[in-house]
Amino acid sequence: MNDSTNQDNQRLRQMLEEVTAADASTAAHAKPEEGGVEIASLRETWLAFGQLIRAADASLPAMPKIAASIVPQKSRRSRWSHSRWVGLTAATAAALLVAVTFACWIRRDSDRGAGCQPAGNMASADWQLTPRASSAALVRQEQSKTAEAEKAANQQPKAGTIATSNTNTATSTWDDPLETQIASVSQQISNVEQNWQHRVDDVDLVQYRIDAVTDSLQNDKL
Amino acid sequence: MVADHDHDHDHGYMVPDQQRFAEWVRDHGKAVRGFLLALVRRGDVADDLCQEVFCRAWQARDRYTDQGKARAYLLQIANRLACDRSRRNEPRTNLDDQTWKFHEQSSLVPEPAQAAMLSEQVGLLHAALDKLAPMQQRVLLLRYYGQMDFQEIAETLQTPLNTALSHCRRGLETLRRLLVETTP
Repeated sequence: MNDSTNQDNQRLRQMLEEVTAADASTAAHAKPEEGGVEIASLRETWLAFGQLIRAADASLPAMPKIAASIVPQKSRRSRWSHSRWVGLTAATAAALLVAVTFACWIRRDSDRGAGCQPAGNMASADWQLTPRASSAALVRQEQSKTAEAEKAANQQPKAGTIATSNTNTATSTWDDPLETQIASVSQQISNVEQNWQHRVDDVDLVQYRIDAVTDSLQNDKL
Repeated sequence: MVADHDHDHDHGYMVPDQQRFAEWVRDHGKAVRGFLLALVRRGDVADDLCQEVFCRAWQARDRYTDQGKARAYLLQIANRLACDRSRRNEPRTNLDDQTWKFHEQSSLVPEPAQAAMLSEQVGLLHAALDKLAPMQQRVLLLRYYGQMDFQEIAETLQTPLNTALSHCRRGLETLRRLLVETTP
């Protein structure tokens, strides 16, 4: 059963290949006893069909140019990598800009935090100019030292809770060395004040004795 | 890159891929276009699909191994694209030829008398193809344009060989009734 089916299919295939062959010589081999009339008829149909197709193709306008992208994958990849490089460069530039801005901001705030320092420098510059200017600078220096001492004295008890500066708390949290410096200076100033007080007391005692001696002399007690 | 089948054949300056591509366009461009036109029945669509066929072939050039069956390879791509298009455009209605020409006047028409004769031929071809089932159309067109044997046609259409043979025979019989028996 299968063999006969296969034979039929094989025969049909052979016949159709002859009928639809491109060259006429193949079809001419068909034998009359193998259904030559049928084959000839189908062959004629096939040739008419081919003629119709050729005529239809001839009526077409000229074939447009075929344009294929010659750089399909590589160029896409390179275009992608190019845009990626552009993106990376832009991101790096933006990061640099942000870093520089941040650094400037920190520097400006640290300058502001050490606000007395330029005044001190200016004072030392003034010191070299004239005696009047130097005395004024000395007064300013003393005033600033006193102000610092007072500020430190006020802030010392609150050091655990409030950092330092009354203008910018965020800056003082950043400037820990500055705060330590201020605290040590204020400590030194308070020590100096205490010593000075002791000395004043000593001077007062001496003065008191001098006054007593003077009174004794005046009263001829000696 | 632009490959023109009318250009001279001097491709000595081309790299092998480009040269092969130019040869494909020159040798098989018309067949691919005719195959597509017979399936989609519109010149502009056939041209677009033809362009797409060669683009796909170019993009897949690394995977292609040359076995002397370039036309069959291109027609396989064309058949797939035509199938995709017909599947996509199923709800749409194509304008008939006269309405299309009324709205879209092409500048590349031949002389009136010749055009009348040719359009008659085209009309006859389309009428003949309309009488065929889609699979019959494809089998006959692949056989005509691609010179593919029936085993290749069956593989391209993803059908058994017997089915492809049956489609071919029935299609030819239908065409015989239309083209041979009705011809005076």
